[in-house]
Amino acid sequence: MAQAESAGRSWRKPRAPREPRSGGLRRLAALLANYQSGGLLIALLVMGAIFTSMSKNFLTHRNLTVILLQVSIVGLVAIPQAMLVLSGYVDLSVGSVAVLAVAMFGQMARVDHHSLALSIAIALAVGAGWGLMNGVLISYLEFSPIIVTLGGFAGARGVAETITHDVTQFGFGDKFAYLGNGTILSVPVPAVIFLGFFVVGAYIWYEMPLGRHMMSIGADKIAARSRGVSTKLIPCVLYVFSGIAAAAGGLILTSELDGASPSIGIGLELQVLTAVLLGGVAFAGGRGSLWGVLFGILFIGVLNNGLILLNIGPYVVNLAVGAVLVAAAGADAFYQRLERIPVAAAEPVAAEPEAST
Amino acid sequence: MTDGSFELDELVSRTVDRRKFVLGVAGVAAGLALPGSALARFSNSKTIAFAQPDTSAGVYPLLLKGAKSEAAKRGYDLLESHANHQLDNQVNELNTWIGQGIGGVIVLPLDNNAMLPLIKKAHDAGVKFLDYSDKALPGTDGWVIFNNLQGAALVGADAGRWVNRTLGGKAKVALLTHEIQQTGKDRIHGGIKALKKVAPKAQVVAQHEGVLAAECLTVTQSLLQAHPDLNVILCIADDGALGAEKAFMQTHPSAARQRQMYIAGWDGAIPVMQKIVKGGTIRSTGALDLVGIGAASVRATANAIEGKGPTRINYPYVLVSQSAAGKRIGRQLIAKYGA
Repeated sequence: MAQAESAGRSWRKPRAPREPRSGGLRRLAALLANYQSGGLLIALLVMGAIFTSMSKNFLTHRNLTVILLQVSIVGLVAIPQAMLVLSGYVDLSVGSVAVLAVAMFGQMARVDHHSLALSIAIALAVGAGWGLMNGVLISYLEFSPIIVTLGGFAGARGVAETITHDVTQFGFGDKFAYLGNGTILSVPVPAVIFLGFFVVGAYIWYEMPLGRHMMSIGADKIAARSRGVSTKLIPCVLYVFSGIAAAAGGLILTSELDGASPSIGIGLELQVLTAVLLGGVAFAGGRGSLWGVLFGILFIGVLNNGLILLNIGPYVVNLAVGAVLVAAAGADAFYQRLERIPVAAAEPVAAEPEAST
Repeated sequence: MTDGSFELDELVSRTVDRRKFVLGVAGVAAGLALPGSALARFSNSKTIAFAQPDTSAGVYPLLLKGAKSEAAKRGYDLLESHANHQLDNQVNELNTWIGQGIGGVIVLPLDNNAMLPLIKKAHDAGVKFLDYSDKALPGTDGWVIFNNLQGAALVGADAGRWVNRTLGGKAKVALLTHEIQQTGKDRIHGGIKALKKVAPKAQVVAQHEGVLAAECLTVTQSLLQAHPDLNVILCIADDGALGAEKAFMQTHPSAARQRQMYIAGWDGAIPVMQKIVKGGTIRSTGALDLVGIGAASVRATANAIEGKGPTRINYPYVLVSQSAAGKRIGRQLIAKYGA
């Protein structure tokens, strides 16, 4: 219970530590804590500065737009995933649900010649349906989230392969192409959708009781239930949203490629989980920040983009990605330690009674 | 005494449970051993495994179409791979098939060296082992060979001629490859070698990993920021060429800029060939007759099992390009694939 309450307090924006009484390090940590929620942003800014100094093409409006476009799909799927992980659950089936929705869309739009609107609606419904199945099995029947969604990881792609026979449907027309390739006020449509989802997600996470409930379920499910939190319904609904987001991500990628390729969604679950965990959401649940997830998503997007701009060779790129991710995680852990120093120093210490010996 | 009788009861109960368990297992085993059950059906010499490890690749349905049709014609059951492009999965499933004593297997190896112990194991079990790849493995019972370097030379030379004709011999070139695979090395390195032989002033400015459409989309989006004046993109596979083309079109290039871009791949996937024939920035592919290769794979394996007919078949690449001859070949292949 205490654990849940402790976690429940942390859903609000992190409280800036009071001014430390002394020490340059403490003062610096307090200053940084006033501006962001973790060391990842610092790592992101440092990496951006390095890429800017090494490539004149990095810090341009066009390249930043490209990065935003590239992170949109992972970001879209990462928002409900972060909420699931925060609640102590996980969805490993997102990549396969994405390709299943895309397969259904391709079949309906190109083979059965249904309207685009109906095909999109059915594809999203497929994502929602798969998410609902996950949610019922995991929340209500208490199956293991990892096993069920690993089953979905294999099963949904299998169903997609059965539908498509691994044939790529393509040529969906200009209207559908707008979803992945259009712009609104010079911002790519996928990025607008992602940012819209993020705003809604942040509102839920930080401002609604639902956000606190997710955190309390992740911290201590029994305690949360005893306080009247819907410990079954909330994860179930989150799985449905995860399925819808995966389907939407698949459709956006299909629009970008103008092809419902069976290879869509391969590795998506890993990219999404990397962003969520790098963003500081505890895998055991109960702790995390959606801002951190946003920084995690951007961090990976900037890293991949920067390595290409610098033309880092294929033999080195994986090593570079691994090293930078570990360094970023280390920077975040180090920052969190720093953040605690001034808070501890600022807390008034009650006079302890002398031990009677 | 009471404790003792309780232990006895528990022991009896456990023994009964164990007996039920053993009987259950025996029942299941007997069921599986019955003629007509799934396992028994595969345990005979009239079964061929078609071990193409990447079933999500765009080329797979066409390969399978040829393989299935030939298997039906020759009266064989056909097993498909579930290796998902993972070497350990491929080795596991080959071991399983060899253990089942099927008639033969034809495999696209993910690692040539890893196949050598399996060839010996297959022969010990009386299973024919063939490979379809860019080179014959030692000790196999036959092969279907497509020479990647020959296909690389076709595409590279076409790109070189285009560079000379359109850009006066100077061009910025990017390579999207998969260096862990020999196919990637042969196609990309062979392609750039042929290109530079025809257009020596062409300059490679970038090389990155990317095979599938979605990967190549994002890589090319970033590449075009570093090199907005890129002229040639050689992709290890047609799937990647589709992604690269979409990334280029997302920059909203003018008609003049589009005329200065040459994207190429290999395989001969239907959407790519349709785009080449129609005219656009995907200008060539080194195409293999995929339906033909699928059929030849089963034919060679069946011949090896039956001990008659050719078991060594060579399949050359053909160039589908925007020349009149290249378009004609493309239309023929598209018609053959039934698209």
